[in-house]
Amino acid sequence: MYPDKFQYFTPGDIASLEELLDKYRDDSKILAGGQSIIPLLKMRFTSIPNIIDISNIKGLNFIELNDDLEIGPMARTAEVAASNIVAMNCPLLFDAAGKVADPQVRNMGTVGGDICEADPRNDMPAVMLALNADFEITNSSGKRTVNSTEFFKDAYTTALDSNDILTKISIKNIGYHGKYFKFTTMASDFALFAVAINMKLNSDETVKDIGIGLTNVSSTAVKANEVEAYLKGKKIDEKISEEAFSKLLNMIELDDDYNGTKEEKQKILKKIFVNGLKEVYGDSK
Amino acid sequence: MYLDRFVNGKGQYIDDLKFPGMLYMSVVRSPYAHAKIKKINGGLNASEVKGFYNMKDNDNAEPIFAINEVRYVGQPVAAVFSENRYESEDLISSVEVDYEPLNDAVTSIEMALKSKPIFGLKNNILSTDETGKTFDEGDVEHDVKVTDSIDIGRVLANPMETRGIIADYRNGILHIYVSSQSIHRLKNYFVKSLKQFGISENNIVVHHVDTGGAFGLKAAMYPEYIAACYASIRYKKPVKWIETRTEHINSAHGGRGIRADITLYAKKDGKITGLKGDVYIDNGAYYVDTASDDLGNVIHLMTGPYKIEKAHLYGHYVLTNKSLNGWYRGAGKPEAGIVMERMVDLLADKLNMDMAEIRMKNVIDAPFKSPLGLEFKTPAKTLFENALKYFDYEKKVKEKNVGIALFMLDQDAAPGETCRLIVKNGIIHVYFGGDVHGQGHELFARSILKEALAVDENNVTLELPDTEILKEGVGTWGSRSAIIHGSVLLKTAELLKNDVIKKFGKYDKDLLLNNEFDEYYYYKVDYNEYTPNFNMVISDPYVPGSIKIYSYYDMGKILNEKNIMGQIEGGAIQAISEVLCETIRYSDDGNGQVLTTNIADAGVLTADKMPEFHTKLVETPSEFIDKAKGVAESPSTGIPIALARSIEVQLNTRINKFPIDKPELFNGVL
Amino acid sequence: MMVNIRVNGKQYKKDIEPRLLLVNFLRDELNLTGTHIGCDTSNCGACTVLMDGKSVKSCTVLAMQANNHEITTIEHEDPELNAIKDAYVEEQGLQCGFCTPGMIMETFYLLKDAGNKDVDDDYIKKKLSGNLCRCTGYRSIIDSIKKANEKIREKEEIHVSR
Ligand code: FES
Ligand code: FES
Repeated sequence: MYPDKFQYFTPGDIASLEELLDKYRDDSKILAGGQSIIPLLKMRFTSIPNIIDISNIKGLNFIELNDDLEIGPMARTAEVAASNIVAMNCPLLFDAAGKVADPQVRNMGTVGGDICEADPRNDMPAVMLALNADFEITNSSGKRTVNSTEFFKDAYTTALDSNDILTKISIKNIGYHGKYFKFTTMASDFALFAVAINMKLNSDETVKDIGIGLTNVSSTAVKANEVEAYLKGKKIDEKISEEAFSKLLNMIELDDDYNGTKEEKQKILKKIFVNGLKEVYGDSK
Repeated sequence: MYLDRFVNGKGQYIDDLKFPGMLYMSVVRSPYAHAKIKKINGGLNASEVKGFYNMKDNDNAEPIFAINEVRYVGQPVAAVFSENRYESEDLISSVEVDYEPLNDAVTSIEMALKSKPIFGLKNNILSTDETGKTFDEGDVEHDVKVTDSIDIGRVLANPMETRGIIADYRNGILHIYVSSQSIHRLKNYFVKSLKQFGISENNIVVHHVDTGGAFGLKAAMYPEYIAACYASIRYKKPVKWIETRTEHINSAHGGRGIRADITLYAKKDGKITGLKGDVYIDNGAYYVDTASDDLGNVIHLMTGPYKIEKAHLYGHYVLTNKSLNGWYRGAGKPEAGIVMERMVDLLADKLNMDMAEIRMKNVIDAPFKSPLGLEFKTPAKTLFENALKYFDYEKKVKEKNVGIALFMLDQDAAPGETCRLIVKNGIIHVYFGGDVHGQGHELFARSILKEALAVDENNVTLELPDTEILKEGVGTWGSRSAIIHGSVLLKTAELLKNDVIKKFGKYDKDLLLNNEFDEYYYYKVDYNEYTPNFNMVISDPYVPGSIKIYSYYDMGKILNEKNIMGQIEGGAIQAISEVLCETIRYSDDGNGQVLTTNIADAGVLTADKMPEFHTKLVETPSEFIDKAKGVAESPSTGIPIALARSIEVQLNTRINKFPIDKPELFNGVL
Repeated sequence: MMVNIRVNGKQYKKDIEPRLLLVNFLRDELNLTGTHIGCDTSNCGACTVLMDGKSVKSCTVLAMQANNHEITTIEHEDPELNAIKDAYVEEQGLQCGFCTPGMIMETFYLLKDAGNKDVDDDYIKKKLSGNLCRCTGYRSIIDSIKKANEKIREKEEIHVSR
């Protein structure tokens, strides 16, 4: 299966990229690693007349620790999953990046691409929500910052306008403990659902701050605000976790299908969630 | 050696072959599971190629291109061609088809049996076969009976190389290069299907090319093949068609797809006295010869290794709006074993008996002619006893979740096989009538000839024949390669030896290799070999990676141990996915859409699902010349049975549906 | 559009359609047919090649993306790669051979990537999650990889001691 025809551009700097985007707007799409978009083009689920490859623009591939942990849109998923800076400062992202798809796809794909594609089954949106990440967005009229909670609108739909470029991912909540609990079916590496947890404790072992994101439980990644609020200031035990889960249930949609009934899926999700909380809480102590 | 070619990327699979001026064919397929075609415009379609491709004339034969109606998603409707493969795919959208969707598609045996007739017959059953003699419940001595309905979902062969063909009509001869299990069987099909276009047997040559896995899929005939042949004749150019994986999922033959409603009658002590029931096969949308082999195997083999005096089965071919049913690794034999053994376990539970004890009570201990019409020469009792002892069943069953399986491996020895050996320039070139696609033909050819002709292994090469070099041949399937190819090779080698002796008065390898010889032999066999084999599985569905597979297989004579292990390991992972997750899913809302969209969703597993292996190979020589016995379909039969039981014991829920489809199993979240 | 791609140490300059996938560039333009296609959905890894030393699925990379990059395929001549190929033959880590080029290229990458880490069954299983084989059940592939690792290490030791 092969893509339909398109024009291909490789701008060498942001200014030329902006120019191209302004020119082609909805008829164009940015290609970073291409691991989401090329499969769609091959299946001809979509046809995009103008593909703009940003891999030749210098300065987009970085993983840096300034005040925040900062990640460039061309940082490959495998680079993030192998980065010491990420491992030390953001174990959730480190863990999740290593669980995206498979080694070859991680070598080519980018964290930024995973975010911008906003497939509800992608892993990074939920992780970004749990991390409360900020996205720097650039277009020809300037830069702005959008928080991840404002970014994911619907399946495949984000706050990005057709001439916007994601230029930086900033993570403030560093020095937390965290992990990505990904549940897949036997044969697939897509999440049937997954829970991202980022947690920091007070000295008395109560939760100082917590971020929780969920993959594939709704048309877009879900940030469990209410659950986070409920858990703050508490010590996590079995009862608290179960209560937290019942709050979570109000925020998600699960359907019956061949992977199980709604109830069966809830049971699995509960197990993952409760165990996950326990594990990250334990790590944080 | 072929292994060397393959590891260096020098294989010549069908898509690696290029001919000057070659056209790529892309197929326009039905998006509907059942619809009328009101108009069609563009491409090569039924307005020009109005014909059928199957061997048998039958009212429900599948047309090459859909005529007036489509019956499954993915059915070929037209074909388009270009010298550039990208452009040929672009052309698909240039064909305009005006469909009138009927929204009444039946996509399961249940739906088809309940639904009004939609295939122009009096119901949705194409035909019914029968084995054994009918009997009344009153005629069979019994204290108990157990009844259940066992469902084995449809799966796809999914070899890593999809189907593919090049048809090249030049100088009045149609050369066909095809990824296949048997060029001779396919030639037969081609001869019958191409007669309508004025091509006769003498004008067809089929060539064997490297074949990237087959599992039953590549021994059958498909409409796309005939379309490619027709196009090559029509456009006077070579025409290549390479199936995409998506086409494979929608359009290739599916395997399994069986429902069996069975009743077992037994005495209190566990002695089974009767078996009867109905077996339904999810036949797909048209008559297909492969389905009769599948269902035939199920209803003949069902009683397996057990001495059951009374048995009767109906086998029903149920039409559905799906691609056709074909062969898949075992083609009905694993299904027979799975159904029987699931019933035996049910009976054991009902009588509160140990599963080995109940099997021991019924196992064949002397040659037995089954009421379903098969003759088992080798009793299963000794092997069964030895296997239980070897794996310490008695102890293990007390502490763990154990499942066991006893079955008769039916090796398709009949009707035999051909071989040609050409000696030239110091090399013995080996041609087999059965195609090569991963059964280690070259490895055993080398070791057999080394022994038989005292030559060096490097003096032997395996060649891929065409239907001219080797006029007759059978094929590679049915766990037959080692036995039948090994045997015919030994026989042909003997002829070579005699040639040398006749010419020089004595044999030595230099006399052979320094001269030119050419020998051919057709080793004819008119019976199948049935070998008892045993599997045990221990697993804990609460623990990922906990599946342990125990195999106790009678190999007759071990020709290449690594190769046998590879067959067991490969079969094992397929068996695991069939039990847990592998199937092709269709919507049941009348639209009949294929819900499975890729090879992972179809259930093909990655390396991390590999189980642990404990294998014991024993050697009781067979009656074949090379003394070997087959293996490939044993894991497909025994492992699903034992694994299902092992899970059933732990979960304490009856398992009668495959795949089980509970993603939480072996996933660490129970 | 013009592309400049270095494949197995040789520079190729070709005028191609931008939509051409790297796998078709290799197979159809350069006739390097060892790289295979097994699926449409980036699942099977039969098309695995190295791009600048890292394994990628060439069916999910545009040839244009490889412009000015270095590609390594199964046809490459390299002592380490040869050691891996030998190990696959010795352990019979293949049956039909169709997945094999992808498996070998991923092996090449994973052994390099592991550096001096020990590669045990679990490590290998995880790292092979992008490659499917329908024939072998993976046992012999994993054995091949372990054997390849031994072979490569042995060679390195010989190298060092010299
Ligand atoms: S062909 Fe590239 S992953 Fe399957
Ligand atoms: S050897 Fe056939 S697919 Fe791997």
